[in-house]
Amino acid sequence: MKILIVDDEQDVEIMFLQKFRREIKSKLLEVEFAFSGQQALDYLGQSGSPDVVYVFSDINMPGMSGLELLENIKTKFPHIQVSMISAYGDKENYNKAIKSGAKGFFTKPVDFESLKNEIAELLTDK
Amino acid sequence: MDAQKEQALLDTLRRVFDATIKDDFPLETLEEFVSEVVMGFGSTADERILDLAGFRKLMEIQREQSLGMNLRFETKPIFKKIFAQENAAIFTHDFIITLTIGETENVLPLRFSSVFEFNDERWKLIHWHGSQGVDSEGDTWHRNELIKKNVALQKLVDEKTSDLHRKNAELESAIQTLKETQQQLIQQEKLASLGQLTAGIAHEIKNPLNFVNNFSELSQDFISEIEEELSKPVDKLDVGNILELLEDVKSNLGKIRHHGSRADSIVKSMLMHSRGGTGIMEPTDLNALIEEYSNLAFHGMRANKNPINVEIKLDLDPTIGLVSLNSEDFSRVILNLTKNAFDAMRDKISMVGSDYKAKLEIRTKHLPNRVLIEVEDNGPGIPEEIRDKLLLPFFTTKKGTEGTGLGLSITHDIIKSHLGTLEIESSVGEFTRFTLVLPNTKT
Repeated sequence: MKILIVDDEQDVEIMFLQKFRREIKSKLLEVEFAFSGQQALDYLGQSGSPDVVYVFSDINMPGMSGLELLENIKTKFPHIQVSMISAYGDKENYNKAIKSGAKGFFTKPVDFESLKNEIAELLTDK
Repeated sequence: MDAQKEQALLDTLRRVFDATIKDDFPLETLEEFVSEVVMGFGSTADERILDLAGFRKLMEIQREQSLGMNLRFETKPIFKKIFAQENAAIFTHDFIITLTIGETENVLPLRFSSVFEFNDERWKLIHWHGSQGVDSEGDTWHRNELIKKNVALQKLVDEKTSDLHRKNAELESAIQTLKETQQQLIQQEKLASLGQLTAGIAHEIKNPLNFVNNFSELSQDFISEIEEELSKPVDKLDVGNILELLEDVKSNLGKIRHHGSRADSIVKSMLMHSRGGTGIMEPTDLNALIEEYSNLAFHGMRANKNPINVEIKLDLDPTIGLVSLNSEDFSRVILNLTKNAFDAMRDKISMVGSDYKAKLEIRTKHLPNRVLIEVEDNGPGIPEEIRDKLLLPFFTTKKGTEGTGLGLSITHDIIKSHLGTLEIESSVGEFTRFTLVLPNTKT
């Protein structure tokens, strides 16, 4: 079970790796990272990685924004779930995200418990 | 004298005045009332007339000189005498001419004496004298008149001088008010740009705090895990795991510190902007300043109305070293230029649609004794005809209250105060590039 985290802040990778240390160690979960929307699309487009089931993306990133990435993923890979993570919990962003097919909307600082629950649901659904 | 003869005399006198002043007077009729041997003197050398031809010439010269002027006159008799068996008459008149040149009226008070002779049933002018009259009779050398004039002139000069002093004081106070208003406007512009930054700043503080919270929480978890591990019997201890966890805790403490100071520096620069900084030129890491403020401007833009997607490309030359800057002022230059670029690119998006990919590039480059900074966007460009107006205060292309028109003007002032130059290149529909060159002696 593989998820992809997209955020222009590089320390997010270390944070996620530590948060899901046990799950990663026990091979329940694989976590990949992309530091921009384009990098994420490139990664998903690679033939070897169709196994990503869930993308968590930041909204405000230079270049392609998270919302744009969401639309792209929903068009090209409709089977992949996408949730947004944003520092701004404003209605406008939220509505746009949900309208474009986002599964969830998490505000920063990220409550990892709810994020873990979201992922645990995935793991049990499987 | 019989009434008919007297009327003829007065008519002749009238014709003399009219001939002198009225530009439509038929000069060809002069010989009807001016003697062939007329003699007369005015107040200038050319006004010495010895015959009718000379008189006619004087009239023609006067007519030429009065072109473009509007002449009016009035006469007041002062003296009149009929003599030589009613065949000669002498008059003295105040002959007051009002000349209007453009808007200005000038009064020329003349005194005019004329002698007429009755010959062959006709009165003719035989002698005349005209000069400027004086008020003080019996003052041959015009001494009293001159003194009076001097006093009047002095009074006029005094009046004009005090008028000038007053106007000067008014102007100075107006300039002072203007300066104060300008200061207020600059202050307002500063606050407005701080306002636009607030959202960016909030984001920039929230992000590092997010890391601080998460990394400390993680470290607590790891320490609990280590404690758990240590409570196991010695032979079951997983030392490798303990060391791994300790390594993570150590790295996390470093992260906490890093993000803590990141938040700290954001707060510091925010305070600098609201309070006004030190105003001192200091060796500054220009590349870091550009990174920090272009990022703040980006997040400010994203958090404000109508955010746009922009690719930001920084191409910063690490060899520029520290540049002597007033960092408070100069960060405003970066903020203003990036904000303008975002606004321009937003306009292009609404014009050409979402196929257009907005891109902002900021470059620094080391030059001998100088540093080059370029801020380039691929927005709509700036039409040639307004390019040289861009730096003028209050010039704005933004609608309504969206722009004060001070951003670029203040930016230019700041660059000048750094002894730098600002150039604008643009191609409509393609790009706009602001090129700044600053002196950089410390390398």
